Amino acid sequence: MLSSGIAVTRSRVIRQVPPALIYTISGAATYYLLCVLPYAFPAAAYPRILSASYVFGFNNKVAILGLIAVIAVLTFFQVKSRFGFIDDLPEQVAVRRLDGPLVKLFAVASLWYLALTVTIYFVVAKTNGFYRFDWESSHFIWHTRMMYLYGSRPYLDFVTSYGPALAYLPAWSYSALKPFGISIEASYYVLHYVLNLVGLAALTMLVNSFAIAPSYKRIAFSSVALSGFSLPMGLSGLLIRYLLPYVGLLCVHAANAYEVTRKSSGA
Amino acid sequence: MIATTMMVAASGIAVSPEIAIATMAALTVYAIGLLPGGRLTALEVLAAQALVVGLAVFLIPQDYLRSLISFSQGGGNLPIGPAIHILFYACILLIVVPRLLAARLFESSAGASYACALGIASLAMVPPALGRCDASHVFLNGLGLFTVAFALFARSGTRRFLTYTVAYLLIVFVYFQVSNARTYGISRSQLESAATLIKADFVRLVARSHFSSSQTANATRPETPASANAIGADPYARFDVYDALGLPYGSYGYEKSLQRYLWGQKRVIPEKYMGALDIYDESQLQERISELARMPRIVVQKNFLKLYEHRDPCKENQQYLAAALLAVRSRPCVHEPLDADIEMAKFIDSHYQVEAEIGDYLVMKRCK
Repeated sequence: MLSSGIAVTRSRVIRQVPPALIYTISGAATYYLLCVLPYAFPAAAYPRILSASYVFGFNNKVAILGLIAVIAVLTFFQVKSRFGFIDDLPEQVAVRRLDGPLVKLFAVASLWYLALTVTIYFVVAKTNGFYRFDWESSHFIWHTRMMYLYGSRPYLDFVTSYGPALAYLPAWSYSALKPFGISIEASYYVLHYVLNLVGLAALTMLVNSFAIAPSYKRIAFSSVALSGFSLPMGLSGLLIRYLLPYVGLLCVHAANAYEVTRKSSGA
Repeated sequence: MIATTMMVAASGIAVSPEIAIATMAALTVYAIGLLPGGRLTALEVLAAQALVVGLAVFLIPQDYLRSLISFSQGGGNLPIGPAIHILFYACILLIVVPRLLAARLFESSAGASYACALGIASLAMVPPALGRCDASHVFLNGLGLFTVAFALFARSGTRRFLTYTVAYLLIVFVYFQVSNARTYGISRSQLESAATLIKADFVRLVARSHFSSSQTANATRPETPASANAIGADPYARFDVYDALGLPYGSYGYEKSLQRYLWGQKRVIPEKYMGALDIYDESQLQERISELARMPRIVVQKNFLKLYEHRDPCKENQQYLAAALLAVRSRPCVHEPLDADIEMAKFIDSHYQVEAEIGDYLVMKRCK
């Protein structure tokens, strides 16, 4: 009763506000909340922090909360007629068949990633100078050496910003490939490529689940795959890392859809 | 359902703390969105997550959350400015996320819960994107959102879809990769030498496959520095007289050839911190200096010895922000900058003395 009352009020309010006004106000508010207001809330001088925001008196927390507040307000202003992406997304995403050309694009992207990985390995990683383009790979290779040579443990014996998978996988990759005469760096690059393939597969799965025309799916996949290769070569920049919350959610949603279908067909 | 949820939640935790939060926030909202109809499924999703979190608390050391805590307290953050990458990210957030979140307001179905949860995942990725808000962090943390945005724009008409695609490619692909190449310095001559190097290695691999016995011999020998062939092993052999050496500047302070050589000889003292990386506050810096103080002998590059001289960290921060396009105008520094490399250099210069000079490097012995 109460919720329907709110919905009616909401609907009336939204109809009375022109969309252009909503966009103008939200744009201006976002700029103010993101780039101006946070300077009014600088961090305390002590304890000192290693951060440019600390140095210039900028408070990122205020900026992020401000942006989230704008998103919350805009959510209130949504009307169903403008919303057309998910509402007819089939519940049975799990059984949605893979688009053939999308699979071919996956193969092309895999070859493109292989070419990039091999080129960077031979041109940058194998050289003797300082880490440059491949800088992000250096932390992982460094820690792999510590784990392999000294048995060091992540979090206990050395500091790492990432999860255990990103610490142990390079070490396991080296252990597996060392008998074939493969160096730490080469084994790291092999792992990097394999995980990139997993990322591309996840991207294929996610894009394939969208309720859009196949041609749009192919364009979406190609665009994200093209930009999803992070050149500094850290495991921290892998496509799979950033797609995981989305693909993971899709898996759970698909499992749910499968169970619902199974139960209803059983009944 | 329980197994899938557990696997997804565990994968998030295994990858990194902020991904774990985004994954589990999305799953939680999805489960809540299934109520009241899908009460049992919701319960399964929530229980499976609780179980995984419980296991993680039991199995993973507390320091797992260290970087997340440091970042949330402002460590490593950059001020947000009206840069192209930030404007693009903010625009897409404002267009896409409210529509996703609103889905559950309009209808009560698993599809609507899924849409709403996608919006929550995108919201949960905002702090890692806008904390250290350079192009790399914004684009990578926004990848999932950008992908979902393709679907939304595709449903809004061809013109909007194509406009978004062009904008995405120009900003996220061209702008990002070109800025990467500029930052790390990729030249045409380097690219040209690629073919030569690849060809040489290919020929070597083919030759090796013909002599399987030599391959076996290669497999059993310890990791040999590539530099030994390229620049000769002699310069680094002079390090052999020292049993253990600290490398206080980690992977960025030494040539790869030297790193390979010293690690290959097992002469590097294992340290908790790699250089100044992952140091975000004074207490961590103090811990790093204490660690450094325990090393009887270290190697530093000659250029790094007086790293603290003629420095203006405030100006350097201003220049960095200008280069990263995060500042329209130069802002005054309100707090004194803290730089871990500078503090380490001061400590090294005052507590160590030069024992030997080997090429571009100094072997230094603790004297105080």
